[in-house]
Amino acid sequence: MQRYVITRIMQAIITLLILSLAVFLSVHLTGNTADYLLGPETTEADYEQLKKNFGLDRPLIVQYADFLTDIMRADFGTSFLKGRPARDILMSRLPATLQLAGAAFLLSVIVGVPLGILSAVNRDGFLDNFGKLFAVMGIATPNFWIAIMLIMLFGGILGWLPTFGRGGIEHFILPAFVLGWSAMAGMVRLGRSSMLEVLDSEYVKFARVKGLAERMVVWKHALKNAVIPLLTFSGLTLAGLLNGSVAVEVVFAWPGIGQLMLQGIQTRDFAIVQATVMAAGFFYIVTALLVDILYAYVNPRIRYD
Amino acid sequence: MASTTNVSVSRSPWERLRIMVGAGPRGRVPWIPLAIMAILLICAIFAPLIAPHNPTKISMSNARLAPFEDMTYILGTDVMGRDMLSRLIHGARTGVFISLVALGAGAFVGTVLGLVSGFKGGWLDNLIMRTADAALGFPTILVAMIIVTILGAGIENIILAVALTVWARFSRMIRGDVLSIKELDFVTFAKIAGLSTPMIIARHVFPNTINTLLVVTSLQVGQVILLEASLSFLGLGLPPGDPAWGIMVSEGRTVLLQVWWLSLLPGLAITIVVLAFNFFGDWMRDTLDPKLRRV
Amino acid sequence: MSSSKGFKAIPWRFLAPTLALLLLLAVACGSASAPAEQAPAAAPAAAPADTSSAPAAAPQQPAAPTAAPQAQPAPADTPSDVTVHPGTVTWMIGGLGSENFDYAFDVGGSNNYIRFFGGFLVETNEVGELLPGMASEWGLENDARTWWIKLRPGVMFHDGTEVTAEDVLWTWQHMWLPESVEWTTQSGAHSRARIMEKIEQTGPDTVSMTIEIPDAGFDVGSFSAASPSPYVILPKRDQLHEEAAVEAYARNPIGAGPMRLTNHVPAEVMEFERFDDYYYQPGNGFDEDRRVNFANLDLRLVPEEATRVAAIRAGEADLAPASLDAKNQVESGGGRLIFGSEGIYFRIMLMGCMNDPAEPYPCDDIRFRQALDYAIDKELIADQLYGGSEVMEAKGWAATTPSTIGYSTALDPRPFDPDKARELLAEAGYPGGAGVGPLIINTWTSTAMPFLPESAQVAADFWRKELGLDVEVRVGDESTLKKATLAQELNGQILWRDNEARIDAASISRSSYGTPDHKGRRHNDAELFKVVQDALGETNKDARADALNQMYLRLRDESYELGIGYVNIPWAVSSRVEDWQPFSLAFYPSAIHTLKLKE
Repeated sequence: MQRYVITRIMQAIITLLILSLAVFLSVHLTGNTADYLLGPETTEADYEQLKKNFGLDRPLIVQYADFLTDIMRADFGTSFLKGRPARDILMSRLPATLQLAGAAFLLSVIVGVPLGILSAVNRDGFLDNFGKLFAVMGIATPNFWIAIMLIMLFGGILGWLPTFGRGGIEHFILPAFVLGWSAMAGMVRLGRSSMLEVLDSEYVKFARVKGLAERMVVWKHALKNAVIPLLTFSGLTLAGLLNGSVAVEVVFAWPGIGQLMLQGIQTRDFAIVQATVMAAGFFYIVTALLVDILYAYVNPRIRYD
Repeated sequence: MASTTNVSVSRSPWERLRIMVGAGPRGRVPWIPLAIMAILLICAIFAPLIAPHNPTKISMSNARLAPFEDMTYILGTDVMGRDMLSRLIHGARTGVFISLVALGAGAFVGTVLGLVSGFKGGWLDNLIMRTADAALGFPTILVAMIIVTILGAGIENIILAVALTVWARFSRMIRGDVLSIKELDFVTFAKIAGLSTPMIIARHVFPNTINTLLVVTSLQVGQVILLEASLSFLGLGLPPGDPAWGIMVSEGRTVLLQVWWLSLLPGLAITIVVLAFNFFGDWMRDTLDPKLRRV
Repeated sequence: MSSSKGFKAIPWRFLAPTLALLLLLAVACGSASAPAEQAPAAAPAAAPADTSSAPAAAPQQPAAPTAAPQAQPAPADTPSDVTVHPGTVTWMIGGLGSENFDYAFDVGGSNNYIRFFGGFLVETNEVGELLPGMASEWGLENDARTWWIKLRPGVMFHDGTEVTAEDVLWTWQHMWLPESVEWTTQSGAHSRARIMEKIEQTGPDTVSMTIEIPDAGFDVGSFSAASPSPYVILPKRDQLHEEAAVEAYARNPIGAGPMRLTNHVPAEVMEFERFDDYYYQPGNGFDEDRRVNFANLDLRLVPEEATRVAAIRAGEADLAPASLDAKNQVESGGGRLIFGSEGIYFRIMLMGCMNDPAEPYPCDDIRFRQALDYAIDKELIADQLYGGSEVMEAKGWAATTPSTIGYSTALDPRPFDPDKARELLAEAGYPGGAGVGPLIINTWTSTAMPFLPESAQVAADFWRKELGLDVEVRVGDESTLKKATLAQELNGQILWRDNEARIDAASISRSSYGTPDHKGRRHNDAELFKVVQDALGETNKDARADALNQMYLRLRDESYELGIGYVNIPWAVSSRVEDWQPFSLAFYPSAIHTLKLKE
């Protein structure tokens, strides 16, 4: 077990290194901040001066080495545009994104998992079909479009809910629903298939033979076993929510990392892009690592792959 | 996530088809999704023949016609007087084209890497899988932005962006399959018989991964269409004016109440098509391999 | 994932805490939500309000033919107490730019917040004229290179200290000294630093600067509120540039404008409150009170227009930039649209004509260029695409709009004359469009100008239909296209962009038309360079308008740029807003002192 954990951690570190190189190269391929600042009167000399001011005139390899040594100290450099450490900006935005992702995740679990289990128990019945349709609708509609329509309906016309921004619980309802709905499909689908599989297993059959009530079989014995794939999936869903909420954050004017990343990309603010992508990638990779370790702990056969 | 999927023994194509069309464990054929997919394909292939107007033809005097207001433009026109119906039909073409090419490229690269990775193992496996992990942790939007910056906005860039992110999914799935397939007896026999590695992969391993490939592909089509929409909304996708559903939805989003058909029609089109592909993919998965439920 | 047989006993004691931990993480991080970025200094201790009305003393300098109108003495009967609405105006904005209050570190994009916060030496009014602001007087020496200002006494910073000539000196040096290019990021500051000879204090309340080339319009762009670049006056620091001081200022920015910053949560909101001692009031010798009529103003970042429209409808916000398409949606919710006239103009440039002898382009021929112009129906674009003259007007040429210096109706766009266009095209050697090859229009989706790519598509449509040309519209990325322009990669193509309107547009003509060795010049005509240089050097105010008019007419004839017209900027306002009269020639939120809320 210990050896497996160490191997996985090493792998995660290699992945992070590859990610850092990919991020670094790709932001530098998009041109640089000086491009973005060009005014109608700019000359070549201004352009070179701006590059120098931002330290972009040094060889790429030197810049990358700097970047790597800096992130070891959790330092992402200074945002060119905001003139403040990218880490501080990132940290100030993190809570908003975590809150929203957390709320959306909770919603998708609270609604998705029971719906999936009910679907499995009522296989091919009304609940099954309804559950599937409802869940799949969540991933079948562009979330920015749903978001705009909901804002117009509940905010602009009915006036029941706030239209944008962060605030009290009422501010969470629309964005968490929009974001959570798209995560729900996976939960329902996985809940359903895990449950079907477990219901078919010897273990559950044995429980039935023992004469336990069906309700007991389903909600106690079967559910316990179906929960593991759900849990692993949940981890990655949460990581995905953090990554995939750019459009939702933009529409709801939610001051999170997604918006920050988009802004950074549009303005070629390297420090910001690197910080946000590394943070999101770090979260994703670490979650995957934790899930794998957890998985191996529960299911020892895995380790010998 | 590592995998120990038990792979069903290789079936003949005929058997596979028979199972798909109804004799399988989850027999009911999803006729409605199939019909929707057929309509989509017909629209995509014959768009110039079916569309009543040129989808990019500007006609300022006919701007903002509502659906059924003028029967020459059955589904109305947009702010530049372009025919909505024709744009929707050509939008189908754009969407199918992007999905086909991007998924084709992504699936090809991903499958090859997955096969190699799973079969060879060792440092190569490690390198490919770590790169795949990194690719999954890399936001698609950043990939799209880089490509748009270097090449300019356009279909080819969306395709590249999608292909660059989607291959990792294929790789991971295929590798998982290969890991268990290569332990099976017929592969061992082939090795003993002295077949070359590429031969073994092509003859014995790859055919057993086709199920996975089909399922993943059918479920990814919807994702690609949605991705196009999101990228276009963020201004990182197709240039405004192109007949594509994502662009059309974003163009109409500020006028939901007045020129409601602008975003509603393409939005519905996206939803229906993605739904169809999802139901179809689910059914394929249930039919081909009930255990394949990671996607 | 494996078959279920692998899972035997499920260690709940292990799973439950993990799940709980995940949830906890989400909640904990949430509750520790971003605190306010800073707590700016406490409100200034009741600042002296009894500033004696400033007598307009004679300037120390030999008063040259000056562009400055004299400050008017305060009429005694002006009521100085206005009723201040106790509420908060919520102003939504699509981008907050750098969120830096020191304009030296601006990065383009939206910097409107600086205008709420900072004080200008020279002010402007509803028709774009220049008025005395923090400077009671200003002027230009006879050499047309030395500008001076005389600071008004009694002007206060938000922290209650008085603005001094040292502050002005420091601000100018910090922004524009030649060595400042090593720290500033604002591109206009760089181009000013390049031509700066010296900046010095010439008296207790006078500061002057000398530039290397004559420019009689330098005041408009460099220290007036009419400039697209808000060069506001900052309190002086010990050094011209020092990292720690920059950070300290970022944490607690102080200006002299109408609103004081009270709270700043980056990327979310800037909260301002009314600055009672704002200098523009009758007590300081002005005949108008430009202090705001409300207690607070929140500037909120809402990038998505559809969301802004919904928020205006819902009454959650009071003001937002909107597109014309949103009109009905705003009106049916009780709000309305207010237009800032002449905010943005079309800047349509034929690139690289005449200055690349190795590569001849069709646009080298003036008849080709004019043919393109005659083949576009500008009125149709205004009426059909923009929905009428309320939004777009087909008037003026390039940067000249009716309120700019040097405008005359003779500059209005050429009429739509497809026959003449075809004739000119044939004369140029391209009958029926044959031999031109693909013509590429580069454009981008503008945050300020509605329908920019669409307008390019309409023009492309005209050129295809009327001239038989093969036209391709490429909608690209703004900064990529700007870089390509500089690298001359767009030669032979067209750049279809927007630009902010301004009262004195002469300075934008310098590099493209008046500098023979500038890489981005439009032409190689020695005589034309002279025309432009002479016009830009004209210092006499009345003669200047005429000189510029002649220059613009000449440039329009050359047709290296096509004139389509300009766009009035639509703002959506909620039903709470009683009145607001934005200035013309302002793409930014202007004249907030005219903003009144309903009781």
